[in-house]
Formats: sequence, structure tokens, C-alpha cells
Amino acid sequence: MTTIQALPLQPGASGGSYIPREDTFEVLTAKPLVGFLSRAVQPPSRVYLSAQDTFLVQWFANFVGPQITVRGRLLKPDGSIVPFQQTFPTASPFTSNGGTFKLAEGFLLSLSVQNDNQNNFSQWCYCTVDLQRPAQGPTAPFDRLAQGYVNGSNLTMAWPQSSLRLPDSGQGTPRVWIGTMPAAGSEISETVPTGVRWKLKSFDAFLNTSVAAATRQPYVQIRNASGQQIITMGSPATVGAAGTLELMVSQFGVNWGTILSTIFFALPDVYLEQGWKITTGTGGLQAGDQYTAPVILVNEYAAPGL
Amino acid sequence: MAKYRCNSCGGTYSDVLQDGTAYYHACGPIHNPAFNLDSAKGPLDTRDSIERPNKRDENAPVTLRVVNGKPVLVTADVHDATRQIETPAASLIVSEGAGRTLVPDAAL
Repeated sequence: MTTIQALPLQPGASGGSYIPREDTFEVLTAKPLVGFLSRAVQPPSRVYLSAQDTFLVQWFANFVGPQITVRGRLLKPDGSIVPFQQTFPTASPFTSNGGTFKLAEGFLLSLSVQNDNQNNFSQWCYCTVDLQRPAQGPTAPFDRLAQGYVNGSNLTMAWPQSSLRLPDSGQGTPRVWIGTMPAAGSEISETVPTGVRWKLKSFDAFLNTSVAAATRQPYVQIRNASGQQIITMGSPATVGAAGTLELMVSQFGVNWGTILSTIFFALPDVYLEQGWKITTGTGGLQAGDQYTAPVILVNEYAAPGL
Repeated sequence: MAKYRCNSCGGTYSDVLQDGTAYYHACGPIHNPAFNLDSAKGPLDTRDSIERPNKRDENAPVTLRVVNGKPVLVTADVHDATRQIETPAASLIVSEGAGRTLVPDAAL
């Protein structure tokens, strides 16, 4: 511990003056045991880019129009640090979008990825950044620098700080899926989009029956991409002519039965893969019966074949 | 927000939902007329439903990629595992079916 001499009288910030007390003014750091070079310094990066190395940026989103911006800094062999920025517009949602760019030779110091065009919490964008050769096309990358969700400009993915985040990590993104209103006399069918995985939370739809005399008994099914039935959720509840019945399927744990023309089905804890279907089936369905568009709540994950 | 009617199944939908996320319509299956679980009554067919003929499916093909703004179908190169083969994609969706029709607001 080293004690330094008291400073001479100095004006204070408020216009007054103070006199440092010699017995409490101490330097608490010790003299370093190592020294540092000011020339021929080892660069603080494991990634050295050659002239042939190409960045491959791939992203996958559930909405139209995310704009991916990659920014970073490059340490060139002459010692200068060059910032760079590359922007990619998205062509198609639920599709793997990819773009490439090259930099000059040098050490990559930092890299960040932002999604600059997101305006709703139901939207998400999953992104990966690789190094590859040659310059064009999705060839097999030899180094993955970053992967994860870039949801909005404030949720940036950065190299080397960010860990590689798998698409199905976390809680998923809650999303309300409003499906197709089928033609009269037809059943509901919704298909999990390409490249995503759903954790099904609830399903809600109304069946309005025609005047044709018949007893309708609806149920809800989950089918895999081949059309095979995986799960059937049903209830003894029925509805006759010129009536309305609401189907509410959620994670109640048990079937609650029928309350005020609403039947409550228990929903199993299940993930749905791309191409799987949620359908209704209705015993006694008549040609004039009409289902409304289903409202489905899911936790959505990216599952792209990047 | 535009609404469309599928010319294959007659369903009505919006291709962009209220929260700005994309919606891709796919026609549902139909009842399998050959469904039969009793061999005494004919050939067994355990499929209670089959895909609709001329089905419309707006989902992206699994092999579709958009590379530098160009849609391509990507397959593995059997001769070089480090490369992939890209062929131009004729369509961005799985199947057009009978197409779709824009539904005027007044018709909703």
C-alpha cells in the first residue's frame, strides 16, 4: 500500500475549495506484474479472414419484411480498424433466406446482427452467421459465429459475446393463429407451416348448424404430416338443428363438459411439427352447417432446415 | 387486410394476420370413400381421410431457399458433401391447386 502526498489546495466544483486528507487518500492497486507491448500486439480475435472467406447470413421469420443488418469491425493488417455494415431484405416468410458478403483480409473484432423491421411481439426472426467458401450459395460452412433469435432492434445477436442459441430453446413466441373459415358443410383443417414447431395451447371455434334435423357431435383431432390420427379430443356434447356450439380446447387437465353452449376439451401437452394438422371431425355434419375460422394459440419455435 | 377464397376447397382466409404475421392456407383432407376396417366387406383401408384432389397448399416447400434474393430449391450434392445443388424454383408454394380469388370487403 502506497501513500501519496497531499495535493495542494485546489478550487472545488462548487467554487469553494478542499484540502485532501493525507491519511485517507490511498492508491489501492498494486503495480502490475506484467507489461504490455505497444507494437506487434497479438490481435484479440480468433478469426482471421482471408480474401476468399465469405460470410453466409441465413434467417427465417414468421412475418413479411424483416430487414437483417450485420455490423462489425475489422482489424486490417496495416493496423487500421474498419467498421462495416451489410443489410439484407427478406423475400419470403417461413422460408430460409440467405445472403452472402465478403470483407477485406484481417482480424474480425466484433459482429452484431439486428432485425430492424419488427413491430409486433408475435413476430420473430431466427438467424445464423457462418463463414464459408466459395462466395456464392449455401455450401457447407466451416465456422458458425452466431445463431439465435433477433427479435427487434433491441435484441441483438453479437459475436463473440452471444452463445449459440438453438431454435427450440426458451419459451417460444406466443402467437394467435386465425385460420381458414371452411366452406359450408366442411371441416376445419389447419396445417403447421413449413419450418416451425408449435406447442399447442388452445383451440377455439364455433359450429353454427343449419335447419336440417340431425344430431351433430364434433371432436378435434391432431394428425401428422402423413394424415395419420395422433390424438382425438372429444366430448359427449351434441348440438341439434339451428344451433350454435363453441368448441374450446385448452390445457384444462380434464374435460369440463358443456357450459352455456360451450364444450371444453382437455388438450394434451404436445408439440406439433411442420405439416401436422389440427382438424375437426363432426358426426352428423350437414351440408349447410358452418364452422367459423378457428382461433388457435400456440407457442411458436423456429425449426428451419437452414 | 385482403381476404381470399380458395378455389379448391372454398375456404376463406387472410394471408396476413392482424399482428402482421404470415398465414399460409392449406386445404384440409376429405373423407376417404374407401375407408374400411372390416376385411369381410372389402379391401382394408385404415385411412379415414385422404388429401383433397387438386389441393392448394401455400406453405413453402421444405427444400426452398432464397439465396441473395433468388428462390432456389436446394438438394445435397451426392458427389461433394461440402456443396449443395441449387435449381431455380418454379413456385414459392407447395401446390397452386385451383388458385384463389380475392374476396371484396362487401362480400364478407
